[in-house]
Amino acid sequence: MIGDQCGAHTFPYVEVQEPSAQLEHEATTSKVSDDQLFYLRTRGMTEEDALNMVVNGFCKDVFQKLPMEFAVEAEALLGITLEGAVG
Amino acid sequence: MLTIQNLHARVGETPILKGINLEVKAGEVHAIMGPNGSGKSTLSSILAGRDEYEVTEGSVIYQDDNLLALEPEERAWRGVFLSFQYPVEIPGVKNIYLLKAAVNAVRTHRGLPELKAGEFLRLVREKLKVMQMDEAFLHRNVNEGFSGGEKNAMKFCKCNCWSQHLRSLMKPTRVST
Repeated sequence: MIGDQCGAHTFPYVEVQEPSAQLEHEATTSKVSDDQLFYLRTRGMTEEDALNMVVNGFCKDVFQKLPMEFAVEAEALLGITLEGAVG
Repeated sequence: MLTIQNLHARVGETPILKGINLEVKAGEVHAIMGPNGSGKSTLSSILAGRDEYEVTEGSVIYQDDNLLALEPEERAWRGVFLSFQYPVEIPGVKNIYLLKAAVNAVRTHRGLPELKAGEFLRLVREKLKVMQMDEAFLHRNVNEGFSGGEKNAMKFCKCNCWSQHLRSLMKPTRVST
């Protein structure tokens, strides 16, 4: 997220027509493990690069299934949104 | 090359290191031994720049630099290598990708040109051969599902790729092979 005035709000909403269906909805946000970041930094990567690598790796399974132009955009977007997101 | 003087450090309120002195000259090999909880890992972690330890006294000079003032990545660029006792897994990131990114990050900061894909592959293959490791390793995710021995072998392979100067290896059980 860009700037200090913004926030993310998630409103789970699921519409189901099938009375016998069982389903769950989950959205979580999490921070990247300090151990992973530290590990990559001791290998010479800046905090920024390290963060990018961990998150892109984490999202790769999904990215691989996206159409090409979508995947490229998603990756670029991640690059922007991650700046300063460490804490 | 490395001079540790009167190093005191603590985690939270618990003091762990109480006045360590150590002088390491280029080419020397030192083994630090001691019972569990005596601070061996702490010392290693402090040298690599882990921030959960607070240094309360003393200094660490590495090749004329105040090591403690540098960020972990800056230490890596200068040649400090910490092998992790419990290597971290990074899902979705292949070894070859991490190795290349890291080798080139270090090279860039040492004023060397980045290795191109072909040159890099040649270097890695050579190092794998020394460790008698299969190339399939490169395409597995970082430390994910590795056996203890494989993790250890990988450490050495990485360390050699970087040609780091100061190597702090924890439980380097594969030294003998």
